[in-house]
Amino acid sequence: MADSRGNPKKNKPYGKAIFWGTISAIAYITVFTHQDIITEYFTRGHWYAALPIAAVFFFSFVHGGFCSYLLSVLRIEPAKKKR
Amino acid sequence: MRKFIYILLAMLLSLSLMSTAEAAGEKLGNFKKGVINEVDEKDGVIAFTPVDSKDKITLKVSESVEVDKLKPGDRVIVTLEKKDGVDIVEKVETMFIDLGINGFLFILFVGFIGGLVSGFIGSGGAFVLTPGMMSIGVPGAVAVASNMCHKFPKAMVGAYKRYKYGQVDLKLGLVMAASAIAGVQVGIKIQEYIFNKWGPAGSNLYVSLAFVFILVTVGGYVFYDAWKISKTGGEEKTSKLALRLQKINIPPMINFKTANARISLWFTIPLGFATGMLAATIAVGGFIGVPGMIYVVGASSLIGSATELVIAFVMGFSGSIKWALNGLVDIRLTLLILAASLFGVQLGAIGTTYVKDYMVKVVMGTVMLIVAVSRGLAVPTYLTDLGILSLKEGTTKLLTNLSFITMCIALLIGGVIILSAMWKGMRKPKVVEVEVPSHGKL
Repeated sequence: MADSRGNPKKNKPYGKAIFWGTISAIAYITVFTHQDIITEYFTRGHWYAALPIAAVFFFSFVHGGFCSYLLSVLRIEPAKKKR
Repeated sequence: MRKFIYILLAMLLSLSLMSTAEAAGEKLGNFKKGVINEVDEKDGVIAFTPVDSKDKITLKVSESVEVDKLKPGDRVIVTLEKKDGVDIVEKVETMFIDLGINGFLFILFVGFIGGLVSGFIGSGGAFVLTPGMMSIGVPGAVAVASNMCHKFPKAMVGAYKRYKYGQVDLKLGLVMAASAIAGVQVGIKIQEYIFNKWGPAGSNLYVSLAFVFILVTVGGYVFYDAWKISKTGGEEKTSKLALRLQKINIPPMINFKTANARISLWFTIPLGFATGMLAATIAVGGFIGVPGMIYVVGASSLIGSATELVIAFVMGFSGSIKWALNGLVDIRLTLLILAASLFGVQLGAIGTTYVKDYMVKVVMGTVMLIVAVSRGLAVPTYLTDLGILSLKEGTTKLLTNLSFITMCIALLIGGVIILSAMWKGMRKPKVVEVEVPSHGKL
């Protein structure tokens, strides 16, 4: 069976969205409840420059993953096009 | 796929280490970060400990700075200017502002729309975020750094998504990015020359005029082309220029498989170079990179805009390292923008699968033309600063505000066009389309 967009009907990834959403929320809460110490270390420059770079990579995987699953849960998925 | 990832990583590392790319186009200036230890209001002097030193230094504060508002213990950025051989503090800015609820929501909103537009046309959003953050009190250098640091992960996620949809030409992206890095260096040199000769107002005027000229000519053409395509059935064709260039055989010829184009490296290098130069001048290299890939290389709008995300990733990554080494990234701001833009960029990427290729041109042309108006509104203020025009302070303030509002409108209209085109595409009853691209045929 296919939906209006031609995608085969499949289960929505609720579990994955909740899992990555929880990790992402915990990570965000941790950053914003420890703002002082985090900004202090992250702006020291030199070798500490690795901290903000590593942090954005971490958040892109965790929060990016959550957003992707959330879009799937909301049934916002790419159209299938044959090129 | 694995081979490409290795190439990508190797290039990224080497480029990042070798390059001091400053794709934001803003000068670092003469400033110091640190903590205020004592304030002497009477003599207009502060005792200050820079973060990179344990020794206290005493700095004379300019009369334009409100000394009574400075408190011991404040973490600040002080901007210094040499007068009679002595460093004078010209500006004191709080390094980490307290984000009020309005600032918080504003960043999330612009982050989302910026992400949406980037995911769809390959660039955008950054030009509103930097002045936007500055308007809520973030120091200029921190705003540029935090914005830059959000750009590359956003571009990475967008590029990954669009790669999965078969829209990214990795080879083209890497070739363009490598030459763009060189362009950035030259762009910075030109900026420095103008800054040293005519000061900050001259530099701002140059940036605005470059903005207006490029956006009106390139954006105007992109918009005209999109309008022409929509009138003739909505199917894109490879530009005549690209077809002509593809026939010129100057080795090494490179075959870009996804873009379906075979063209000499000697045509892609200047294109990447121009993208980098523009990135160093107006901070949005994509406004020349994407049209260049479409009209010069011969890629389709979808491939061009998706490939731009690879360039944005490489350049943003090397730029972010530079800013992070200077300790200027406010990670709270970066992560806040990312919270919304990672959602927006994926939505924008999905949007490209529901629309016809030329919709990228519609959005890009519209955004570019409105941004040109915005920058045009800023020109009289810079002419006043240079003493060429004489406008009242109220008028220049009004023009500055209007310029910023117009920029926000550009982004907003881009977002609305994308969402409505996507909505229409999703509501079509049968969207299992068979699309045979008509572009890039030799």
